[in-house]
Amino acid sequence: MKTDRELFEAYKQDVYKLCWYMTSNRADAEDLCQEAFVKALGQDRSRVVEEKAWLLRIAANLCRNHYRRKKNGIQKEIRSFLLMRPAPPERPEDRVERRELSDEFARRLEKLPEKLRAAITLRYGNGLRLEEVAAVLEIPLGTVKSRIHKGLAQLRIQMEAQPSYTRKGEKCYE
Amino acid sequence: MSDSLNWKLEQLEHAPLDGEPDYEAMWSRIEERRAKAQETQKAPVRRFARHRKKALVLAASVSLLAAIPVLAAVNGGWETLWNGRSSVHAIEQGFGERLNQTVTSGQIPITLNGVATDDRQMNLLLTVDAGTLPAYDAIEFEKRVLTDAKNKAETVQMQLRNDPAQGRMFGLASVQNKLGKAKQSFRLDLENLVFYQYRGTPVDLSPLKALGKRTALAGGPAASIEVTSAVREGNVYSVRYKLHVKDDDAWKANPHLTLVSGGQTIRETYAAVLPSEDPNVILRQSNFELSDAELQQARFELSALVETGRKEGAWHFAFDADGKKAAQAMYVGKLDPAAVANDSIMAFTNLVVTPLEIRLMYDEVRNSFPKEGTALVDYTSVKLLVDGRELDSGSGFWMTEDGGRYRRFELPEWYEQKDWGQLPMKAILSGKKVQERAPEDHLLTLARPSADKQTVTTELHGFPVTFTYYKEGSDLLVESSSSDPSFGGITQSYLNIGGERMYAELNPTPPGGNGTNRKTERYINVPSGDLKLNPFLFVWFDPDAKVELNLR
Repeated sequence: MKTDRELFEAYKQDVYKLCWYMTSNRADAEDLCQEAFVKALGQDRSRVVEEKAWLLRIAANLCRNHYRRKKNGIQKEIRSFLLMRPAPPERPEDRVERRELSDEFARRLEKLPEKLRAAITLRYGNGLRLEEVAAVLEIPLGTVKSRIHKGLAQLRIQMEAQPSYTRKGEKCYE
Repeated sequence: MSDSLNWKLEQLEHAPLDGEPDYEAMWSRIEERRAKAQETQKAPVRRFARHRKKALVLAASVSLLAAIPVLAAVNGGWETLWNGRSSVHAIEQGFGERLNQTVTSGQIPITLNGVATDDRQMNLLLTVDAGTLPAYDAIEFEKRVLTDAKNKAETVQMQLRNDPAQGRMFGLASVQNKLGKAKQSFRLDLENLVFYQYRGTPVDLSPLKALGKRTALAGGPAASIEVTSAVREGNVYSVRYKLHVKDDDAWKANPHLTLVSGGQTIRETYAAVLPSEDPNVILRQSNFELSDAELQQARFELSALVETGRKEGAWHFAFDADGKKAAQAMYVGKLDPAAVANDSIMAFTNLVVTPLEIRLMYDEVRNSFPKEGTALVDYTSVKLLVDGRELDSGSGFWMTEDGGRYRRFELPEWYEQKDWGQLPMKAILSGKKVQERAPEDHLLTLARPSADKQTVTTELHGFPVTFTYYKEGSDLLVESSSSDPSFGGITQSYLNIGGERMYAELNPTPPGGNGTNRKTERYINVPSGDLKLNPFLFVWFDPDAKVELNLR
């Protein structure tokens, strides 16, 4: 079994990459990456076989919680809190601010719904097999395939709407 | 899949990310957190502080247990709640109380894990082992009251988050702090966990023909709905409406319009509740993004929360809280006015650090209206850069009882850094928003307004602005907009009639605008002939502007 440090060194980039593509924000990605390792190292991993998938599962759950908290504005569980919160007198809106993105593809991924984005990121960003993606997200294999199919379809629509993103000299065909 | 998309996906796995973090620093922080968690697990069992006042009144099937206080080992479930992370760390640092009282009622154990306070609020951390939960969109305790030693009771604000992986809910109850530097006894009473889901009621109104219509509603918290404005701009459909509600609590159900088109529900992309002079009316604006084809076949539904389940129980906790340590831990540092001077209405004054948050205090410097030739500048985003880490205050600001304003930031986890006076710190302002006033002689001629639409264009601070004007009976309608998205819109224009100003009827714009820079103003009963329009107050944005202020 790897030591804590060895575990971190082996998978830090994988975990950070997932968090980055899920949040499109460096500070949030860094926080979530750190949090994932803190959680993981606090657990008994003597029986963990697939360390990478296990770590990515922890990170994906954290990203999902983070995404829902920031994206929804009003969390579904805290209706009464928000309705009762003393609102600032002039600007009570709860918008999510867009962060600057340096990565054009991350910007495209950001437009996908969270569930599709997670599947696409794990499959292509982290290089997991479909079965591993299913294990990380704890969903059936068929659901993974469906989400990736839908995610790719949406990415294709985004790209076809902006032909300037086609590489020069590259053919585009179905 | 296209070659282009395929290529990009193939690159994704191996492409280096732009600006990866300092992993060595990250590992150091991980080690510190791990070491702290291990120290906590070795801590001796803490005795309960005895409740000195009268005996508790307990519901049936209640038990009281003691447990080893291991907040950090509950795997950070509170950290997804606002102020949760700060509350956990405040308690771990000794600026709060570890309680770990468990009360069971209705076969549901609820644990009051700890309390953390500062000078403004008290946060109570809870865990709820409610077992399998029904599907829900919202959840609350029907009764959630904190009573002090003088029997003064107050309803607490409660955040609840379910963590299925851990099989429990994490809660954070907040109340305005009554402690000061004293130690007091309190009682927390919780009753009945109630679940809500959104349910839609069809509305007999076509979005394309809704303007000015009022229709009765069958069921739900509102008796009728009246559409006062419906605007189509690009792919955005913006509707403003009044909900005539049945009772004062109707707003808690969050009633709002949705669109249903082709069997799909289309939710608001932007929404705002506007000030209403009538307490029996909820005035709301909703923006939807949908295609023309979708709008053609769309119909309205009124969505509102309804109770769909509950778990009965009554949980009562008694505890002591001591505000002295938290008060002693507070840091207040005066800021150098020269170092924090900026062009906005925020004149930063002090930095306050409490066990729960960082406050950047400021005085707001503004007149009621901007003077001609000057501008009111605000920054919608204020971040702190503390020792290289960025903290976001979100939008909006907070106020103290004496009217002081501040931006609040959740403490980073390394609160052990106590010498705040020496810690490098910057404030980063962005999202520049400017309100200006057009000169008095900036008059646009509206040539003999009639029922036919006419336009006149002008420039305001370099932005092209078009005014479309036409008459409806004796009223004049003026629609303003700009093709430049950095132009925020006309706040208020006026007509110069014989040297006197005539203003349009009041039509509040939602906070943060309505998602476009388009504004429609109605002037009531204007005289005939040529008219002179002054754009008067307008807003523009500079998204690229950024100001860095050295706080330390």
